[in-house]
Amino acid sequence: MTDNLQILAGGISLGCVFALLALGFVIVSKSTGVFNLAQGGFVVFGAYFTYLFHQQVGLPFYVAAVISIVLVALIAAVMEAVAVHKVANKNLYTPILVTFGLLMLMPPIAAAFWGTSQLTLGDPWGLNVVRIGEVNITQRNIAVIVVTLIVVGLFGLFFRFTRLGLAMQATALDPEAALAQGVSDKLVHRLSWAIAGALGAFGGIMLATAGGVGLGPGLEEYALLALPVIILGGIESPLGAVVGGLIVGIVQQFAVVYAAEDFGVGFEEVVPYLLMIAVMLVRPQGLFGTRKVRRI
Amino acid sequence: MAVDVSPGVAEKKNTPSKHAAPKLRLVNSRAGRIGVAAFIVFIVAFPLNFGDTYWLGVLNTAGIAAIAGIGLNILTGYAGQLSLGHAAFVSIGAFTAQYVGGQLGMPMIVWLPVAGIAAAIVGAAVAPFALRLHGPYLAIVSLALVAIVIWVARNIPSITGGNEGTFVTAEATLGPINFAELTIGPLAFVREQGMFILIWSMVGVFLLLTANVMRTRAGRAMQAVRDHDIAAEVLGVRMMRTQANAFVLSTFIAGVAGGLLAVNLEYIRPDEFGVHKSVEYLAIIVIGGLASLWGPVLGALFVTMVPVIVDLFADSLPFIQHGGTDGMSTTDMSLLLYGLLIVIFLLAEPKGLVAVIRRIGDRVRRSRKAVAGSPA
Repeated sequence: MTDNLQILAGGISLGCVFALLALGFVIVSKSTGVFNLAQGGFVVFGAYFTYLFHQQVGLPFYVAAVISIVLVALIAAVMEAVAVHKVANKNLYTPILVTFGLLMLMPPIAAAFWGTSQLTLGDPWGLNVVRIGEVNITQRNIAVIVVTLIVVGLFGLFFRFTRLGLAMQATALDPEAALAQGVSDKLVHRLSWAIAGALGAFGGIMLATAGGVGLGPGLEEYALLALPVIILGGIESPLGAVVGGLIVGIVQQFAVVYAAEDFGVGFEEVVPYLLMIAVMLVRPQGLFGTRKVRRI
Repeated sequence: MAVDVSPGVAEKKNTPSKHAAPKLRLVNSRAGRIGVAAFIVFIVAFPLNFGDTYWLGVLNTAGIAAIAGIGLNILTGYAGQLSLGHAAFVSIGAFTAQYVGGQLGMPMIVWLPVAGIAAAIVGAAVAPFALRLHGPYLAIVSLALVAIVIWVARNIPSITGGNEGTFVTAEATLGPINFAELTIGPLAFVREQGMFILIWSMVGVFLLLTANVMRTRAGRAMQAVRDHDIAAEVLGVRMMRTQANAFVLSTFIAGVAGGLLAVNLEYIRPDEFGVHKSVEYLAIIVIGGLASLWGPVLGALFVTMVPVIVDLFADSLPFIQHGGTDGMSTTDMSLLLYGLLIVIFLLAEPKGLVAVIRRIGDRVRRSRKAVAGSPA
């Protein structure tokens, strides 16, 4: 029982990282209709920029993290303006391919500046273990969980109560009607990319510090691990991203421990995808997605 | 040239009427027939007179990528289903080819089609699930397929050699002809030369196949579904069947490409067929030109050349590692260029290299006409 609780705690913390990564995808797809694969690149940039400002420039970790989050948000907005806005409403696959191109060119740039060896951001969250009842939780796991809760809460408040948040929801629902009401679609699209960039950068920092992944080549592939999460939760549902992230994190953590030899090598890597396919068979629009109604 | 397969009877029956069906010919114009003949002469004559094994090797790699691209182009270009799972089918073809041709010792006339059929069976099994999904959903589910196939391949070491992979012992022989050790009379040719003939004749076969399938009802139905699925369905196109057709044809070609890839590389590993490979195929058809016949070939030549050219000019290009200095590896540089090229092509020329070449051709023709028309 204690063992299971222990695994559950690890799963929740992993799931929170997934949820953060997934939210970035969801916000862009919700407000612009573009499925943004470049998200993986934001993860890489966020982590490496933090390394730059923290380890190379010598700023305190929190300052470095905030600066790099803002920088990545700016880069994301610029990318939207330069490359994506023109094709955003074109057809289904052009924007996906454009963002795929953007995803491909970002990690090599990071590799050019910071090399391909494994780097470290240190342990800003602390390494101590906290005992809650029978369960041991590391401080960094607690940090991930707390920070995710705060970010998701702010996210909800922003969308529900601010003018911009409402404008973004309006654009998502009906772009033309929103335009007629004086909502600038350029502003909304760029803002949603900036938020996605910030979330991606933040997810990257969490992966590099608390995810046990470290900072090295291939970080963008961890961002792609969020893909089954999004599909699981529904591509346009922030709530789905969070719940999907938690489900995938917990199931994967249990798979690591329990599905030992019988399922072969590397089974835990396939678990999120199998879970996703199982859900797709029952609900093609995801757990929290809405079925698309189309006009002919 | 034996490219006209229509029986003579069919031609007699083809009386001129209002609804005359187009003649059932593989190539239905004189220019086309000349083109096919020229292509056949070229793929035999070129390697026999061009001994540089390095460049022939590059062209062979490009040819295999072109075949895989032709397959993906049917699914993504003509039928409009974005797939990131193409590498999975190529790997199924590759490992099947080694199992049937290497371990069971069958000849190529067996293992090459079986490689395609194995991939197509998996494709047919996946299609009904995939077709419930649209756009990004399909892309991601097909991504799952790549992960699952790699996991399966790692865990059946008796066939795939597990993580370390396996040497390919299947032989590229067709009757008395062994493409790996080609001899004509007293002349013996190197491996690359024989493989060039084999690979590029398969490119030719699949180009001809695609061109003809796209003229049939089934092929036109695919394009109709891509352009407007509901409108097509209202007009009597069975959507499920059409898309399943595209899936099966596309995965069959991918399987054959995988079989050729296996004999050409002589060594295959499960990890080689990861997402990056799928992306490469996608880049090929986007850069070459979606839903165009020659797009995959042009795209494959282009995409295969990028790393080669980066390698060639590594000393003079900026930002690249020289010895121990900081900088990019050539692999990273190629990835960066792929990414950049995909973005640039989609923004500037969504129709790809095919459209670029066509436009250049038009301009040349127009300027020539202008010269001819102007009084001397």
